[in-house]
This record gives sequence, C-alpha cells and structure tokens, in this order.
Amino acid sequence: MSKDYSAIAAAPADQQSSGQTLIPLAKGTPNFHIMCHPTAWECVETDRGYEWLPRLKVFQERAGVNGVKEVSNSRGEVIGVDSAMSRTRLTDQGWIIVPRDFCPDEVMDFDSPRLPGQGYVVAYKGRGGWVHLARWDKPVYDEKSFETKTNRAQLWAFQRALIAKGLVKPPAERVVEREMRIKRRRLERNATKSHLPNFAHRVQVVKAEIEGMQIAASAQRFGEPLTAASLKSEVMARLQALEIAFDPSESKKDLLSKYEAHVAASAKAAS
Amino acid sequence: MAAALTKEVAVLLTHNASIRRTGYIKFRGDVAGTLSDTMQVRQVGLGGADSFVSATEIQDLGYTQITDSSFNLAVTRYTLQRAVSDIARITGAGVPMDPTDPFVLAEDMALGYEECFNGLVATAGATATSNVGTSGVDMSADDAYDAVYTLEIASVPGPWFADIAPRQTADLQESLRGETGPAQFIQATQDMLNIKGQGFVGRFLNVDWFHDANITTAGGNREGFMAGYGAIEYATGTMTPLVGSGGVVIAPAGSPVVVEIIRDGKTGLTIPIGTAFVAVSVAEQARMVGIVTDA
Repeated sequence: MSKDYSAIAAAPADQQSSGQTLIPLAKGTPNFHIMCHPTAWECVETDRGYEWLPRLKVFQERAGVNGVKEVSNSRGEVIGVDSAMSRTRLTDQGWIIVPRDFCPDEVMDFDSPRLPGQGYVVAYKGRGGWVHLARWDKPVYDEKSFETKTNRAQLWAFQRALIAKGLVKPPAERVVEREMRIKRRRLERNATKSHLPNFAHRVQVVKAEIEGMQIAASAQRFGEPLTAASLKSEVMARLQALEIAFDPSESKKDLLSKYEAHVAASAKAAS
Repeated sequence: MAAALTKEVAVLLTHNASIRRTGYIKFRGDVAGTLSDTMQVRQVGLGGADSFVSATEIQDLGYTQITDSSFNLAVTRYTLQRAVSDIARITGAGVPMDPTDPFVLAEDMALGYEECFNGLVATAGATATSNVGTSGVDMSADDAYDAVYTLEIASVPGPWFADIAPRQTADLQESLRGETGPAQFIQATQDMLNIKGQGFVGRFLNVDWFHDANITTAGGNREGFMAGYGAIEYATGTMTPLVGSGGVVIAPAGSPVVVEIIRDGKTGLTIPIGTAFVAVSVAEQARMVGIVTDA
C-alpha cells in the first residue's frame, strides 16, 4: 500500500526574521514610573512660547536599586518586582508618582485602538529582553544602533495634562524664583566676558530665557491654560492649587472668571 | 586561501569602567548572617544638626526633635552564565585571550559585574530631586557650574564626583573650548587612570568627572548627576557555595563576584556561572544634584 503524501498539511512559515525586528540592545530596560517633585520645575520654550512645566523623572523598577525587590513564586521563579515600599518612601519624600495608566488622549498614538489600562509606558521587544520606553520616545534603530527620538509635542502635552488634571500643582513662588536665580547667576557669569563673541551670544540666549521665564510666571503659564472648554473639576483643581478661595457650588463660568482675574492681576503685578 | 586567522583574539569595544572602584559609592556592608536580604539603614540628624537658640532666663523651652530617616538596601542576585562547548575548548585552547579559558571568563565576569553596578548607580542617580540643565539643550560648562553651586549651597561635604553620559561629556568638552578664566579642565592622565580606572574623564571645578554609558535616558534627556560621598550607598551579599557542592569556585580578587564552573558531560558543556548579590540606593537626596541635558 502506497503512502498518501497529500495528507501532510502545509504550515505557514514564519514570514519575519525575528532577529531583524528586535531592538538591538544586549539587555532590556526595566518598566518604570514617571514621577515629579514639587520642587523640580523648568521653564521650557515650547510651541506656545516659554512655559513652566514639571520635570519628569524616571523611577525604574530595577531589582536591587532604591529598595526594589524581586518577587518569585513558590517554585523560585522570578515573576516580577515589588516596588511598593520604594514608592511609599519616595512619596514620603514628596515625590508624586504618576499612575501608569495616566495618559491623556493627545499623548496617545491612534494607530491602534486604545486598550484598557494603556498608559504612558510602551514595551518593545529587544534582543536582550523588553525595552520599556515612554510613549513619546520612539525607538529608532537598525541592525546595530539604537536611539530614541522624542516627540516633544507629546511630551509637553503630557506635562501640561499633569497640571490640568490636578496631579501636579503649579510651582510655589520660591521654586520659580530659585530657577530664575540660577539663570541670573549664569547671566552675570557670562556678562563679564561679553566682549567675546561666544559669550555675547550666550548672554543674549540667557537674557531671552530669563525674560521668557518672567513672562510665563506672570501669565501663570503653568501647563494647559484654562478655557471655556475646560471641565469644572479642572478649573476647581487649578483654583485650589493657586490657593484661590471658591465655593464648589458656583458655576463653571464664575469659577473661570475668578481664575482669569487672578491671571490678569498677576500679569499686572509683574509688569 | 580565502582568509588567514590571526593568533590574537582582539577584544571588541566595551565600556570598561567601574564607579564602584572609585570609592565614591559608600559601602554599607554585607547582609551575610543577618537573616534578611534587606538592610535598613537608619539615619539621624546629630553632630550639630540643630543649633542652640536664644532664650530668656526663666523661659520654658520647647523640645527640639531629632530628625531621623531611613532607607533600604534590598540585595538582589545578579548573574551571568556562559556555556563553553567541548569543540570550542579544543579549538580555542592556547589562543591568547582564549575566550574558553576559565580564568579569562572569570575576569570577564568580574568586569561584567562592574558594568551591572554602573547601571544600578545610574538608575539610582536618575531620581535626584534637585536638577540643573535644560531639557533639549546640550550640556555646557554653565551646567557644571550650576551643579557645583547647588552642592555648595546645600553645604555638601566633599569629595564630589559627577557621573554623566558620554554624550554629556562630549558636549561639556565642546562647551569648554570657548571658556576663559582660571577654571581648567584637567584631562585624565595615565597616572590618574591607574588610580581611578577607566571611565574617568578628568577633573573640573574640583570635581572628578566620570562618564557612563548606562546613564538613564528619559524624554530625550540624559539624567546624569553630581554628588558628594555618601549620596549613594551599596550593600552586598557574599555567596559561599555549600561544602561538597562540587565544581570549581573562583573568587576574582577585589570583586564580590563568585564564579562557579560546573561540568555537564551529557551535553559536552563546561558552564561558568558568575553570581553577585548587590543593592544600591540613594542615601540622601540633599547630597546630590541631577544634571539633565539633551541626549
């Protein structure tokens, strides 16, 4: 009896060479939380002029660092890391740990549908394990090199959203003043040598930065400006942050005018 | 003849530095014999932290509480395992820098541990509360001055060191080309490298500058830092294999790494495994400042 060779089913071959589609890093990067500190702010020149935005710091969940522990199952297999105690300690020190699922729509990519719990961390497959990056840091790589390209518009949108949604309060006056003092010191240091062309250029740059910082501070330009389209909860959060008294039963329009009056008064006082 | 092999096996470009060996990272101790993998370090504000206050003759004084704090060092196992096949051993034996030689592999593992340690320190350093530098702007001599001023204002005792990304080093050096005045960047000489090891770039503003490819990148920025001694601490756990466990154990000199070599005759493999237990933590935020500049 002859064999029936037609019974052997064809299986689709792997169409991709996985080695070429992986990020060429010898080791992966751990998952992370973004965190902000009330004293860590910077004035950045964005597409809207100078703006005060919270500095984003990265708390990597790397076992052995800052008290992060490995967690294993009953068979001794590592199943993840425990960063709860470390995060508690960081919170005690004043850090604001941004929940991983926090990601406003303007920061999301709309190439694929948004999944529940999808946040600001994106994981890419790498040769040495998962490479975790923030949503605004896009991997750019070829066979040998790897770097990230930052979408600054997305990054700024995220920073603005932190303030708009009330996660981070606008900076205290002393924080703004400290940052400006650092710049002024830089100006003074360079001004003594401004007869040299490179120092003259630096003086111009720093002067523009200080001016931008002053304008942004006086205009209360801390993140997304409130508009008629802002939610009432957002307006209330901002008023609370600015320590402006209000009655929660007031209409959104009235609350908004209180905010606008405060901004106008601050600008006038600064000028 | 298509090709002729050279006798020498050249070593590929590797970031061969050790921030641990510089002495700037404070060693807190070993968890051996403590019955815990976590060392809780207690800190107290003594030694003149609170100064006397004036008072009238019969004034009832309020109590001044002693400031206290703590941080954890949770020791974690870090390993590196290789497998040397019999055919590799046969053909590789006797070649200079023989990659199948157990002692060459043990030395490589000791250096691999240092690289891991550099990464742990860089990760810890990225959580600095105070920061200088501007997002998206290259590092400059001005940022170096700002970092020094921040530590000076905080009365951080020396010696100070800076751990920055190679890109930041390049930008700083570029900026220094246009600097004038008495402050000079002292390039690392051979003598300095002999003492401080690879990764040492030089001295500037009385600070030892090191560069490290492991520095964290976030938001298009490099998160380097400058700190005083005691800002970052580490702990280890010394592993000693049980008596009678077999195999060969090599402990590279000056390293907490233990390299075990086991033989699996079934697969024809000789397996060197390097193990180290280590933890790194920020001990005191006030002693450090982040240097955040363009990547």
